[in-house]
Amino acid sequence: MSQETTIKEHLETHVTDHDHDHDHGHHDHHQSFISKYIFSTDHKTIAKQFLVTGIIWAIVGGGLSVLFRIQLGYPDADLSWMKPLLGKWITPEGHIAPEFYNALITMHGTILVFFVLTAGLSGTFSNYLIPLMIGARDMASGFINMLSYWFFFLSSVVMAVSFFLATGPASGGWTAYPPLNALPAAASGSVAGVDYWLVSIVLFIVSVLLGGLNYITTVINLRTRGMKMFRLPLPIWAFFLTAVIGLLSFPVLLSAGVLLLFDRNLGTSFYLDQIYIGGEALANAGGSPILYQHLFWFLGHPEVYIIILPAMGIASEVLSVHSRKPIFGYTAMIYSLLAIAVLSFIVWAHHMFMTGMNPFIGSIFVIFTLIIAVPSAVKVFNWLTTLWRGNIKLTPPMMFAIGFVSLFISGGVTGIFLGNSSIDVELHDTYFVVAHFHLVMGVAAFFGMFAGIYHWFPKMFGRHMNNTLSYIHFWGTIVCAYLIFFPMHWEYMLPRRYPTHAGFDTFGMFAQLNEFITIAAMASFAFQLIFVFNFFYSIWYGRKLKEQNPYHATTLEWTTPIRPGHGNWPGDIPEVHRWAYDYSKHGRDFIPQTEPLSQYEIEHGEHGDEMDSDVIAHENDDHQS
Amino acid sequence: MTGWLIFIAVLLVLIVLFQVTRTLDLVSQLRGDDDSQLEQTSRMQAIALFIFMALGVIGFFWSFRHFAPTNVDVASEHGELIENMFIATLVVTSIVFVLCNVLLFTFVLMYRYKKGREAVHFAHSNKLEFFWTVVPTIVLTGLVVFGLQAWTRIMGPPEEDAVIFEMTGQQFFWTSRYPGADGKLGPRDYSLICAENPLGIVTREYVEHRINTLKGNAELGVEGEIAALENRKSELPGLIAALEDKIAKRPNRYMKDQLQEELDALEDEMDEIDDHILRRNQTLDRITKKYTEDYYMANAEALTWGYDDFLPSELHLPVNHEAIAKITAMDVLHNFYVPHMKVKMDAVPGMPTSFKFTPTITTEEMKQILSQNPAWQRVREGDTDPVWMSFKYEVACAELCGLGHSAMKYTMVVESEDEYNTWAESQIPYWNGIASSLKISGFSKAAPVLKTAEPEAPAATDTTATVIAAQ
Ligand code: HEM
Ligand SMILES: [Cu+2]
Ligand SMILES: [Cu+2]
Repeated sequence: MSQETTIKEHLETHVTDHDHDHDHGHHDHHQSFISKYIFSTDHKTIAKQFLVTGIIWAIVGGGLSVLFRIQLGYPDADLSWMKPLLGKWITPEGHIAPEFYNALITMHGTILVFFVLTAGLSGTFSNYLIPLMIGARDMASGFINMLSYWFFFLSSVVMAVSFFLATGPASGGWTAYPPLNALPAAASGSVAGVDYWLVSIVLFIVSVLLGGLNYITTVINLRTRGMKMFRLPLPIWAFFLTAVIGLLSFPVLLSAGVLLLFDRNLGTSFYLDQIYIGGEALANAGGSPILYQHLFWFLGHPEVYIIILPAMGIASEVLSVHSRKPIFGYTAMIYSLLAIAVLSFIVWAHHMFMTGMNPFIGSIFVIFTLIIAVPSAVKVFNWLTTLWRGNIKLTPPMMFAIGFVSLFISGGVTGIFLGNSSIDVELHDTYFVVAHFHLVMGVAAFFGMFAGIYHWFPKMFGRHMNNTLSYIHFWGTIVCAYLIFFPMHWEYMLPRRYPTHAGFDTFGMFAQLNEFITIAAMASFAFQLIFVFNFFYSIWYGRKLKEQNPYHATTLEWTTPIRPGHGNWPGDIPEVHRWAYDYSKHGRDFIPQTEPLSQYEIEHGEHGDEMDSDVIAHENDDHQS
Repeated sequence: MTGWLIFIAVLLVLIVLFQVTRTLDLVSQLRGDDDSQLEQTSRMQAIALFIFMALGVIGFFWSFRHFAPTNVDVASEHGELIENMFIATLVVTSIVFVLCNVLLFTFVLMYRYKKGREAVHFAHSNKLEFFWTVVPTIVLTGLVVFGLQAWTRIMGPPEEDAVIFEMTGQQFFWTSRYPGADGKLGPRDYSLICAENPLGIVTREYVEHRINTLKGNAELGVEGEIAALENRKSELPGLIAALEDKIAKRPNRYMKDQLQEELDALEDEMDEIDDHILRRNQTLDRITKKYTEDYYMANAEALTWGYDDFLPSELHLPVNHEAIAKITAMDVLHNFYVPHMKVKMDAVPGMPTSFKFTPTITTEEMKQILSQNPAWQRVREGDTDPVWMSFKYEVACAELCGLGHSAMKYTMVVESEDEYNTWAESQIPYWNGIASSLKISGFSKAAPVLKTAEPEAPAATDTTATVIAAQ
């Protein structure tokens, strides 16, 4: 008890003072359930809140895709059995009503892009890892951090409620292009659903901005002594840059969304011009639907990197730890992240080649788009070299990290097709695009996330997940992911967002393939349930973690107690003396970041790049401090 | 019932499987010696990953041969260009894709965990990193250069004699328009759209007609949409009150629900009717402000272009002759997509776009080609012939536009220059069919001329010329 008191006092002095409310008296050691698990300001708890909410949304979002894939794979089948779930949205012939099909794809995209792969991924790992890996007691502001989660929660509630509207949820695509999403007469989802969608997204943006501000401030200000920027583990760099990108791009989506709300509800014409709908001409004049697309994709493209950078960071860390090698080209990795972050702001119009945009401007975007492929390629080569001559432990997180690299390669190369505007004429808005972004962003980011969950689960919950189930989950997921999205490239004539292609003879040749993909999609969903079970089961019943540093990793999070309390380190925050990737150096399996540099390293540079560790090992005997 | 049984059975199987995996985990824990355990697992997993990769690469080539629509002939000039770019990029990226994946899984296999193996501390190499920054840059530069050359050609200005046609997307159908003999599409104004003028073509008569149908014209016996709406508005409260009364009296639950629905509909109508009246008034306002005598003077010539425009029910184009599609939309975004020709361009309300292309295979030739294609041997339900026999080029919508997005089909026929000319000359200007039903007072002057126009008369364009002359 007395020890706990000293820890607590210690905390009070080290945690930045402004985040402790006054009612959190000095002598109150027993937090209530509510302040500990619900309105918690502990970054670790908030991370878990993001993670669990993300998992729930992933089940919902994934489930929706199974529903619409069934419609697409079996356009003639009688789906009346879905009636108990979907009610009036099943037509008398037993098909999913087209407007609801559109609502399903819209919600699927929105939920997975924003709620799962942005909030669920960044929210979880930025929150969890930033303080632990940089050596801070908590985020710069625990309170703002808590707000960030609760705004996300509110946003989730609004989106969830929209499912139950009589006119259905938003149904104009996750990109919410006007006029379809601006005019209630244009689609049933646009009657009320889009308002809910927009309000939800606005709340979500508030959450992202609050979270992002915190991540940035924390990384800049709260690094422990010795933790120079160029000693940070790569995930932290990734989270940091992700937050910067988010901070610069999400406000633009906010304004796009608010203007759309105005167009919908106040009679303005930002995006509307000369529209004749529902048998009458509207008075709106002078706006441009293309303006919205520019604003949307000014966020939209950075958003895809907001999703993938954290996954890249996590994969880099996991690859390095489990192959017992330093990440190859640490500085190149950082500079390529930076390059991606900067370039991601000047490629947005590659989503708009076919909007009638000035072709010359299109050419500029072609050039920038293909430039952004270079840093992406560099990262891939660096990951490959990291594995080269390693000692690769194929644990579940490592399997997912390897899967991530493979998926990123497979999905990335197709970007080269799409970025070339002349090929995009053919591919735009077809299943080729769907295949591209699901592999490179959707599934790859999920793999990064899974790698992170499997890797840090023991840290998060003090228990291990079941290994066998983890392997089953990996195999089921990677096999299905490739079976779904690889052959989908060959549907490069097939337009997206059709509940059935039966009206066209030209598309008849894809019916078989569509059915096959649907089967794989259902299987892949089933495999995710195994993960969900394993995750929740292991939180309470998993094998207990006994070692403080089970992976023999160098980073700071493994210097905390097995179950770290609020404040992370019971004693002083450790000081850092070296970068995070001293694996297999000087004949040692790993050297923790907390270990001071040896005399040799001081003389020869701390990042010691020697190929021949044997030689070093001998020299090292003399220099070991 | 069986559903539940299956559910329980599946659940039981899952529980058993889970117990097995748990036991496996426990056993491996008990056996101790984590390192040799890990060595074994890593070996198994690495081999499995490698096999997976090998199968994947084979599957890549196999699925390409089986599923890629490579046997779809490209039916346009620029389509060939795109096809070549696609193939070139496919070759380059396939090499990268296969090479990187092979390296990845080979490294995993070669350097899988072994007790006592020491990894190499290899943290960076300027030479290597320089090399693989430069190589992709060069390759990508090549692709960009070729890509942009093609892009400039595809997007460049059309030829002088290109066949002009216009496609208008609307929820959920396409309307096509050809300029007729004068080669010029009449100007359009969305305020003029009405049943008799579906595209809102601007001519003096259409303007007058629209004003009359909005405002009403006692002389012509036209009530006018605004007045009709006002009437409706005044009768609605009575209808609503009557219904409410009925509902209050009716004890039958089913009837009550039905009446309630009717009532809701009426109340919705009541809520919105002011908006509709307002919009009609605004439309009228715009029309009267814009179409002044000055306007007619300044645009006298352009206002004659619309008379000979015709609106066929399918597109016809001459083979090997450039065509330019003028693409517009009325309500929401659509996209004019011709899969066989690799034509794709958004239709944007308020912003006309265009796409030029040269068809290279006639519909008849394509039929012959498709008669060899297994995918086209299907027989549609209720049909006896395989689908290739009734082949026409299909136009689809490639931008989500609402619930009928997948139903926006249009057809296109590509034929010889002669056939095309014969077809074009046989088309009757839309104006000819509609003029007599317009609600305009000045119409009597023009009417006799128009009435002489035989529906079948091939010299339809002459008739139009007379109309214009009569103005
Ligand atoms: C090699 C680099 C890449 C290039 C050159 C590239 C290029 C493109 C292009 C041109 C499109 C638009 C296609 C169209 O709609 O016609 C596109 C779509 C997309 N890309 Fe990429 N991409 C690359 C990497 C990525 C990455 C890393 C991500 C995500 C992490 C990503 C996510 C997406 C998404 C989500 C879409 C589709 C959005 C939609 O229409 O709903 N791309 N990509
Ligand atoms: Cu993009
Ligand atoms: Cu459409």
